[in-house]
Amino acid sequence: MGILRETLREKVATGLAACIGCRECLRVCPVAPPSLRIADLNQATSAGDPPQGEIARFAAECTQCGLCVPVCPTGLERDAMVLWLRSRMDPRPREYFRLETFGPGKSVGRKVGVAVHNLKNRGRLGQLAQHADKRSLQPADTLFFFGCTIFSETGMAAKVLDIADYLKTGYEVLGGLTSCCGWGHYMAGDLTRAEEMMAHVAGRIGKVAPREVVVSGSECYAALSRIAAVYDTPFTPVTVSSWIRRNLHRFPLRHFAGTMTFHDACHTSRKLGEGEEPRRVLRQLGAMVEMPLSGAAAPCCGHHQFGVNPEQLLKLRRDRLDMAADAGAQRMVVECVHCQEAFSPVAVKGEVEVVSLVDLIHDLIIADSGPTPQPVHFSAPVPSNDGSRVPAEGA
Amino acid sequence: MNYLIAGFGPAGAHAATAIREADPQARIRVFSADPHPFYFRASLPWYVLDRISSDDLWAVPKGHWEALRVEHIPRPLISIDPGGQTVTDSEGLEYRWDRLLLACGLSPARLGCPGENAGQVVGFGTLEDAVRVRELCQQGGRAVITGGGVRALSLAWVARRMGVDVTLLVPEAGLGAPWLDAAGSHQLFRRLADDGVEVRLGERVTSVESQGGRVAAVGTDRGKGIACRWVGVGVDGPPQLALAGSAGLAAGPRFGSSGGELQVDGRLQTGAPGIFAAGDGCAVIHDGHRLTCGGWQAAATQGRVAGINMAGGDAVYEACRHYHAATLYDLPMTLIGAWDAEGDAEVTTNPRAEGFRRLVFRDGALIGAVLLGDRRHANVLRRAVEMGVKVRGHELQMLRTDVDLNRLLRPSGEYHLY
Ligand SMILES: Cc1cc2nc3c(=O)[nH]c(=O)nc-3n(C[C@H](O)[C@H](O)[C@H](O)COP(=O)(O)OP(=O)(O)OC[C@H]3O[C@@H](n4cnc5c(N)ncnc54)[C@H](O)[C@@H]3O)c2cc1C
Ligand code: SF4
Ligand code: SF4
Repeated sequence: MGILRETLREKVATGLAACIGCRECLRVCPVAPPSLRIADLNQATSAGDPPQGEIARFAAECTQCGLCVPVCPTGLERDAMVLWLRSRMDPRPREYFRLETFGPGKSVGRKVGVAVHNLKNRGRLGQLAQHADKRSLQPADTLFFFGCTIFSETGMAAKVLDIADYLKTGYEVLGGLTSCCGWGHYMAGDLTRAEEMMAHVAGRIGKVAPREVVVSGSECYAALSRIAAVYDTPFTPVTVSSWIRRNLHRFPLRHFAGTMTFHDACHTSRKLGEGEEPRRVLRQLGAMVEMPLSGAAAPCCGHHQFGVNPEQLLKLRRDRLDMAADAGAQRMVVECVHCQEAFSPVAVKGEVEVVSLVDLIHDLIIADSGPTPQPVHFSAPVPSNDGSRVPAEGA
Repeated sequence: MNYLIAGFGPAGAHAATAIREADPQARIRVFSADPHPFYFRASLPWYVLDRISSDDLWAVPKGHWEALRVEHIPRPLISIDPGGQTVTDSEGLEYRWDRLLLACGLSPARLGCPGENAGQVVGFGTLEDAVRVRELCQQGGRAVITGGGVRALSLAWVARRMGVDVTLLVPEAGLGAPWLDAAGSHQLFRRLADDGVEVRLGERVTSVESQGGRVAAVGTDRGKGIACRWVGVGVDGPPQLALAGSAGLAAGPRFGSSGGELQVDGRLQTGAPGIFAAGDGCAVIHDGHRLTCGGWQAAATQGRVAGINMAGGDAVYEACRHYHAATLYDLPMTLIGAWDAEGDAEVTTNPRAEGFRRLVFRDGALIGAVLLGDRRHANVLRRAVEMGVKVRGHELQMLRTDVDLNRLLRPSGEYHLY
């Protein structure tokens, strides 16, 4: 049994024994049906069989946001218990199949698949294409890890490298389908594949032997924190927000017009308690308001539901943007590439705009020195106001 | 084999399940003092507040015990004959056993003073108590609650949420005994005071006075009368000691309090052959350490260990795996490992700090911890205790909530939270 599976199994077994049944976890859960009983849920979680009916649907719809954790009076991780259920789902939701595109693989078919994918995206990626799934990696102090998000249509990876060039930082880049961090697979309950992928990424990072690894995805940050702790790869994972904050004095700072608010990413703000870094940057960039639900209480963008229930996701996202508008913000700033992918297509023109912290800093340096900005394109349809068209998840 | 279990809380329920797994032919009978099968007793506060329904309180799905062929007899046991291997229930019926488990937990102790049987004197340990507490809270006014542990503080919290004025009379010198020392008790005291609870330490109820058939006031051993509409009994009493005593099993003094507790070995066996004990009110003596147990998870895990051993297996309840998480009023408290041990080193947070931590070390390893008010790191500390990680040199840093303990304790093993 892999470490990931064994740790989760142990955590779930202790959690089930310690659960006092207060239902506080399900009360705050954005997707739990009101009829769901803790006794049934715990029983299904401890059983060896695949979950069925209402419980299987709940396991698939859980966004792994972790909102259920801080409210538990006995300190349990309901999200981990649901993940354990998810790992036993049979059949697995068809929305998970696209995860199979990611990660390393030795077969010829797999290699051809990766090559074709990269060829197709070459034009869109521009300069960045040289880094996607490249074989050779050079030693460097700073490694930018983009994993599969190098292909994200937000263009965040290219902008991060523009900023690094502006700062004249020496760096190496790790990104591409084969170096996906595996966190998505973990969140989908594919524990074996996730473990393989993390081990592979640990090996690739070992080749660069960096002092720090800068990441732009909240889930990649969680994965790299685990990789740094478990595998023998001594490096410090750093969120892109933290990296920007450290270099803030080197940017041509100015205030942006209008009021901003910040949407916390689950894995950095809530699960790893690092919500302060992006706020420290934003306070230098203009007027800030907090939404009533922020920090540990912030709702999730729903990325780790993998699009199983599109209507539910659309509502989650719309509600969050409404909350930003109600707080008086014209911009909702995100730090995670997945949050940006989730919210941007839902944002309605003329209402709250969704931008990343990287976008803001990139705007500053463009105004200063003028590297060509990467355009932001979304291939997904922007939904009409009645919510009838649902955006696809990003890469 | 004939298995009898006294008590249908988490200890009894998990023991029954473990026995069934090991012995498909066994006859398993579980007795209880309250009429219901295993339910989420520790969730009664949420039930009183109407955040869960009575249906949510059943701890296993409908038909579970029937499917496991576990018989529930809703009557308490009164005595044990260890030689004849029989027990007698409250109706005088006798039952034979090959293996017997005592898992009667704790229940509200009697006030033991004049007026204690008045209709507005209520405990907080059963579904029936909770229904009564809800009715009394809805009437408003002031309540006097006795005790300074989980039961009393949960009751005080619920009463405050329902708009009741609360005076808490704590017989001990501090709150949260025996888990918290003076610094921890002080933190809790501040929190209660902030929420408007009047706390009187080292004071007991000596009389309950009624007027017109209703509780009107209590007298205390400090000679003060407190006007109130009802009295909540939150001091824990150990019902199984009387039962154990009838089998000639002696109780040891309860750690940090005046009560007694039943002593068992690491396999949860008492001094009498074939008789095991688990859950609240037990102390496990194993590996040179005497661990005072308590809490839902410990009871469930011990029930499982006892069940395995009763059915002929070999399992041990290890102090390093002990975990007790509860809420004291509304502050989370976590006890990890041998939290009550005397190590060779100990560190405690500054009394003025937010959140309280006490960490106990032996031979350079963390062996136990008490956390109040902040549960960050609980999982990391728990793993460090379980794995016996050497942490010498990091003792003071481990008191801080703002350091990355995962990273600090690396590379000695796997401490990550995921
Ligand atoms: C209000 C409240 C809040 C709590 N909150 C928490 C919390 O947050 N976290 C936590 O870990 N713990 C909490 N607890 C404590 C937790 O409920 C107990 O630690 C746990 O229930 C102990 O389990 P047990 O099986 O040992 O005994 P119990 O659950 O107390 O069960 C005892 C059983 O024995 C039966 N019994 C009693 N006498 C006899 C007899 N003579 N013969 C036969 N049967 C008998 C009873 O009817 C009952 O079925 C709370 C308790 C209360 C009351
Ligand atoms: S992780 Fe989020 S969606 Fe999943 S059970 Fe917890 S609160 Fe619900
Ligand atoms: S909040 Fe915690 S104790 Fe309560 S039902 Fe959920 S997991 Fe169990």
